[in-house]
Amino acid sequence: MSQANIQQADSFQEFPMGVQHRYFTFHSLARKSTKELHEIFMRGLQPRLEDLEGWEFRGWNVSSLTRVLGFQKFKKGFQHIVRPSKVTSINEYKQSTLHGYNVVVRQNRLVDPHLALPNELHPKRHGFYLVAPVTMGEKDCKYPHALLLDYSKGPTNPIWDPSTLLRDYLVKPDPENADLFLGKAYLALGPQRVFAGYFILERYNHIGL
Amino acid sequence: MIHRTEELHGDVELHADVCVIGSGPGGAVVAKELAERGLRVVVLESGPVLNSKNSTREGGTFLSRYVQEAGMRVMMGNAFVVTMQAEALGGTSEINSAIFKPIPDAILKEWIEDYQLKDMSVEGMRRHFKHLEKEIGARPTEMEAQGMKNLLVKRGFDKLGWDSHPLVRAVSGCKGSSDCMTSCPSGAKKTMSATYIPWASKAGADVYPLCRVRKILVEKKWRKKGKARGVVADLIDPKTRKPKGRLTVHARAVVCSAGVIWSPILLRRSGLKARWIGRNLCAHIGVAAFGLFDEEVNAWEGATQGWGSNALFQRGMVMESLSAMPAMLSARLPGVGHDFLKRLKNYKHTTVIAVKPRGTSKGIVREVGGNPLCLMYTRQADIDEAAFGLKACIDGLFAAGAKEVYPGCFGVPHVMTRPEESEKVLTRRFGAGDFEFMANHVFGTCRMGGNPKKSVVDSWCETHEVDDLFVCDSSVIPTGMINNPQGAIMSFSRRAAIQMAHRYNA
Amino acid sequence: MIQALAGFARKRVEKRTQQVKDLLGMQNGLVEQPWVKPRVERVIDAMGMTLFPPGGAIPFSAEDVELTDYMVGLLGKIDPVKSDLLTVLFLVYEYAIPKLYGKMERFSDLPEHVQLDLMEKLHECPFYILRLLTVSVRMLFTFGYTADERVLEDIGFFKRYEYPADLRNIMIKLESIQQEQSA
Repeated sequence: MSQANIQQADSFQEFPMGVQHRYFTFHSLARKSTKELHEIFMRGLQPRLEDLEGWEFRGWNVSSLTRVLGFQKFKKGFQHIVRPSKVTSINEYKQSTLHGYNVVVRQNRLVDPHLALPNELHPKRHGFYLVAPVTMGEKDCKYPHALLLDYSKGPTNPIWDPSTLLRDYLVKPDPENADLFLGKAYLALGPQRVFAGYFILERYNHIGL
Repeated sequence: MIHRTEELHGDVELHADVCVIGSGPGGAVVAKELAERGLRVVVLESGPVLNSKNSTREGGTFLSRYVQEAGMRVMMGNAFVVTMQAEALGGTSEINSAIFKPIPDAILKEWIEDYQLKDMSVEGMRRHFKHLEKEIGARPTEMEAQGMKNLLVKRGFDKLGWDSHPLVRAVSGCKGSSDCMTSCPSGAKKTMSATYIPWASKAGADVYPLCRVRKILVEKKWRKKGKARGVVADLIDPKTRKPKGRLTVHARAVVCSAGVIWSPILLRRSGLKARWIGRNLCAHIGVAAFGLFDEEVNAWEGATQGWGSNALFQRGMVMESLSAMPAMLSARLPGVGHDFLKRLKNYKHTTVIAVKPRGTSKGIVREVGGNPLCLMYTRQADIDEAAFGLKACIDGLFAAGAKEVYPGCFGVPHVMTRPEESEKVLTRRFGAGDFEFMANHVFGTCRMGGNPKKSVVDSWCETHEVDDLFVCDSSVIPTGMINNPQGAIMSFSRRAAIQMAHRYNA
Repeated sequence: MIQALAGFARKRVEKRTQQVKDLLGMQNGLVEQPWVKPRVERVIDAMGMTLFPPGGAIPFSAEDVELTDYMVGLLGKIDPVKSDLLTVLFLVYEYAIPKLYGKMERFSDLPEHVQLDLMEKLHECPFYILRLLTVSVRMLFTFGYTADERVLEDIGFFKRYEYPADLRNIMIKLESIQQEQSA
């Protein structure tokens, strides 16, 4: 078909560093390089807490090391709890009582359904965290345009759980798509924050359905 | 003009600008768009004309006359999945429930990105869909046409606080006679034979039912791309359904809309060798649960499928009410002998909720001895997702007030009487053979894509391998798409037809 | 090359199969053969009466609705390959399936309660293929059973429109469909 006859094609949007995209999708983000994801992350917007609450999201860790370690696929859920146990200031409480958790899922292909383990009736939840907008001046405030998922404030994480070291930042890469999010994970090793990898979330099911 | 093929004999030759194979949602839209833009169009359909004058509600007779392989086609593999495609003027639009939905934006974006459909955009496809929706008169099923069977499903979804909405269908003035699958007797259902085929015919297209295309004529020159030059078809005797003559159409372009099963077979017969022809067979592999109620439901009253829920949409599933002739669905009731008769007697107290997961299982279509052979391996992930969806259906029925629910699968109680029993569906590890799967939405056997090595047609539905040969049916859809495919097929076809008109009118 | 060879082999097999059929006088489908038809009718009779016995909730048995004639007629209407496969399936039910459950007689020779027990066991069989075949056969029989307008009338089936080509006397009701009353 000749280019002249094309009626409805959109032009490509060019990003710096040669990142080309038409649309962001769960699969397309999963295939992008760290450099491209960084560009997309930096241009992302802060998600609204209301868009997360009450939903579970299917997740994919972009790093292939996580496939070897057995947690490349996962689900994250977000829900309000009335009495957050590890919030340290009234401001934090006022800003957010949204908490979240991770769900262990079967490690199959990217395109396959995210099936909770051991079964959908009794999914294994772990790695709890507090969700709040990034507050400048706090220890974890690297990306002011993101939400922070702070695992050290997770209400029921055992003290020996290594996930308490995690600090995730979450942005919305496409302003018109409230179902897709890009996350950047860090490990808190003392005062240092070590980059751990990118992950992608997409809306999946209501909690409890 | 819609010709009476019974009056044709011997060898017939026709000349046209475009020959369209198949009169289903894809072929009918292409024919209408091209004819209205001044092209000479010939439409060949292997099935007979189906309307309320010659239809019947008797299941065996209807299936043997108007459904391919008498409704006994199965996709074989670790599970045998029944799939039905019509063989009648208007294609599968004659026997479906006319549900008219767009391609979900997220899935269309996925296709554009994953299959390098550079010339396609979400906004453009949305425009095509909106145009078609208005043209065909699709609207939400009216409350007056729902009937008790759909309203009970609504009750269940509402009680659970789930998304709950009337299904948008290509129907105008539905009388709720529940005859969608045997040719709507009131004329409310906007099948292709009631809309696009007569419109194409009025614009000058010639339509020939009972013409089964044998082969597409492809002119091939050494080391050059082939060009489609027409088709060879058999004229079919309506009584014996055997060939009685030959029809040859010489055309500048050929549009193959023979469906997911026959399009790849025709392409292969015509000498195309692309690796992905006939591969990538995808399906919405669905399951359903029956609910038995105290009140009289009368499943033969009300829109065939009038109510739905998108509660599981993001997860890749839709739930819909479902009905069919008692012969088709009642066979899924459990029991033998007196037990079965008791349940059949209570059929007027039952309704059904069905769920269709998007699915990731793949299969192939090949031709063996002149007939299609469909093979599919149903993946464990899809089976587990189907179980998840089935539990939601069971919950919906109990919430609606069902006193018994029949889950229709092996390995759990055939009759559930308490809502808590639905949890057994999630705790059991099902095998492929434990469900009575059905998959009438099939896709992918001539999938579209930008890479000729990984696809059969480009984003304009033209085959990579042969010029002037297009495929406009659900075989170009690369993967399952959650929603019913009629809207998608028609949108892709309209888009391709407008481009074809530019080219062949120039 | 391989495809061409496969196509050639397929044509040869089809030609030989047709020659064997012509030799055996099998121009028509398998079910029409004089040495097959009575056996198939016998097993369809027996299975039909097991699935739809007399004295049930619906007062018509398989015999009352002439289910055997319907099934043999259906076998004549469908594609010859499928018709032959179904005929073979019925013969398998008659001769082979009872032996899997330790019954040496033909299915149609078994007592009624044993036939019922066998059908119930087949529905619960852990082997998918047997279960699938049984459910498929039952589906076909249900088509035949519900083809009779008296059965439809008994279950309360009615319609609001006639199909002129459907010669059965289906009850036609013209009242508008009922709406759910508010709770």
